[in-house]
Amino acid sequence: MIKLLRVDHRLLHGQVAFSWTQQIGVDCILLANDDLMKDELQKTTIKLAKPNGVKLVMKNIEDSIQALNNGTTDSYKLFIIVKSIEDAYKLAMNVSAITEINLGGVKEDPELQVISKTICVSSEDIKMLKELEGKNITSFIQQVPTEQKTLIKNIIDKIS
Amino acid sequence: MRHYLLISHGTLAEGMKSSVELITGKQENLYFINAYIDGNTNIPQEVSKIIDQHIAQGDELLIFTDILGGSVNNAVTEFTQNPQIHIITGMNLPLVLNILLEDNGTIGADIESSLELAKENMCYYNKYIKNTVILDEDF
Repeated sequence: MIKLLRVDHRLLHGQVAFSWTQQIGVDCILLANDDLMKDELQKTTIKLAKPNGVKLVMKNIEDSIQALNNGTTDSYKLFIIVKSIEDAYKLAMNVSAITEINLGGVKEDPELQVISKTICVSSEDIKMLKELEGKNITSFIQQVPTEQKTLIKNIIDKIS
Repeated sequence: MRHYLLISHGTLAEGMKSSVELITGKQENLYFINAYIDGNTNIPQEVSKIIDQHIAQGDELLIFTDILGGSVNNAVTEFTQNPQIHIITGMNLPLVLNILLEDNGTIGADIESSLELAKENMCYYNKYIKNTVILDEDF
């Protein structure tokens, strides 16, 4: 069962490891990212950030979609983290069990439009978020569990 | 209810609270004293103020100080006589975080396990990452 799909450019780090896994009660974290699978040092670093008592699986996007669809993940309370809105879009469009997306952090970039303290989006990102809303896949900005959710559908018309 | 008080030479205590809250979100029962910023600070008096304001009967107060043998920690020694108060010295971020997040009901045991974890968290990272092999997991 998918408990949460989160976009966070830092993938697994203290804030996520501590607060979210406790709050939402997960027993497995899936990091879905193509570049990560080619970087052993980065993988080791992330494994060190793993909270106790939680399984940590890393896969590229394609393998993640396959695992999420073929039943192997059904027995887990799963927390999926991706680096970008684009990757979240790819998962959500290919995995019917995904119904919402938590926007936790997208790296600042002068090319991107700032829509909250921690989220920047490109015009492509906005298009994807709108398309997902059209398919009833809700996105919301929330950095830590104690923070209020900001629904994308409530602000998306104000961003071009 | 548990309350947490951070005390340091200078602004480490306030900074620690800021770092903790960046990770966990706002904490209602977390207080700090930045000692000696404007010269003298009467630490026992400041601690007593916080106790009077916030600590009810049956509550517990965990005081974190920055360094064993430092004047901040020396100044709170008298509070070890109060069974509601538990003092931990040598505070760091993993220690404070773990204690805040791990309330298993027994304060002595929670403190001991958090201290163990915080000690493990301190390491020479270059050497650590070179010598660490963690196998990949799959579903």
